[in-house]
Amino acid sequence: MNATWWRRNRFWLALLVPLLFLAVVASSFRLVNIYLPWDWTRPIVAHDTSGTLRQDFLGFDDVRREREVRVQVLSAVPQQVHGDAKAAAGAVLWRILLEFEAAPDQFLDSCTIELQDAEGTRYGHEGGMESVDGSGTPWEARLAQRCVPESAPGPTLEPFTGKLVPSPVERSRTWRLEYLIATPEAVEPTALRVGWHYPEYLVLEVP
Amino acid sequence: MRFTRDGLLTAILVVAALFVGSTLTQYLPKPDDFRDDPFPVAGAFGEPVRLRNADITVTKVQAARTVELFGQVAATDGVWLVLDVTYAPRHEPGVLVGSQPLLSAPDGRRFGGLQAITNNCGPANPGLPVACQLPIEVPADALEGLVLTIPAENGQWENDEVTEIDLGITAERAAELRASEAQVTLQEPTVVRP
Repeated sequence: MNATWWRRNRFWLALLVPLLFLAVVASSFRLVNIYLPWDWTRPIVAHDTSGTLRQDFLGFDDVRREREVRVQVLSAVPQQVHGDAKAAAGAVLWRILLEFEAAPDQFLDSCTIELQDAEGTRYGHEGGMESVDGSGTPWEARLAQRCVPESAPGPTLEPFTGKLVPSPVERSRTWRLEYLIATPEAVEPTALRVGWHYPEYLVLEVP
Repeated sequence: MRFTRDGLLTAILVVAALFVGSTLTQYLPKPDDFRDDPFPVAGAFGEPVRLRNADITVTKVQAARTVELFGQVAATDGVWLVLDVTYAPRHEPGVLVGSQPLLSAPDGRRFGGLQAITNNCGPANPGLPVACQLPIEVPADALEGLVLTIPAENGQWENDEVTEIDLGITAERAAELRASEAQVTLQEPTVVRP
């Protein structure tokens, strides 16, 4: 192959670069279509204790809906005991007060709330705690993971059809709820994550 | 069109390359052969096994004829192997669902899954590991050489990490376990010091 060959085929050689790029992009369909949409991969970082999550999501009834909800972390206080729960040995319970604001027709049941430390380690609402009376699981604390008021939850999911059932009592535009999350004693949470449907989630600062 | 010596040589080289390539391809492993294979992470009894999301340690193996959990009792004609396990998620909260661990015998038989009694390990938070007892019912003739497999992600037996923990059950130890008539009351998962 001499210089003439390279000159004669320069167009095809140049075309190789975008073609290779397209081949890589085409083979990433599993990442784009399967892995990324089905995990918490799109953070909405508020850089504040308050932020708004906007997303459109596909419901279990195959209907695409818009969601807009504002969340604010009002307080996060460390303590050892709250309600029927106490921190396990070496742990501390963070009692977190959140304020939500959304239109009454927004579907906001079943959320995921986690604390995050500076290294990005996440802590959920179920681990690291025990019942005060020593009976094992602090069910009251563990089952408290809802993002809507119990008496007026707004639309809820019909278990078998996946359709949304309207709330018997209209939910107010703003409401407050409390959560307990256990972390190791040495951990200082820096952020709170809240999300409803993959992949978007809100990242708020902890006051 | 005019045939030249260079042109003929090129054609022969291309055909030869295609022939060699297709012959080699027949002998190379196909993607389908290993596309669904898990990534085994070998470990030993008593040692933490480091999966991508959690450390799992088997600290004790005992045998029982009957196990009890929350007042429910299940007996077996074989052996209930009760594994004391420490489950320590590293970066995010997790739970090891009791139907996930499987015991593999050297002859290929596998035991576990949804049983008369299953016990979860967790939920646990990073830095706050959980100790739990996992019961798995096995036939009396399958104890020797059992290997414990636990997937990193519940239900994900393909394309992901899976433990392969040799429980170290020798023929003598298998005989001891087989002879057990004990009843074990399973403990609820409890947080332990890391």
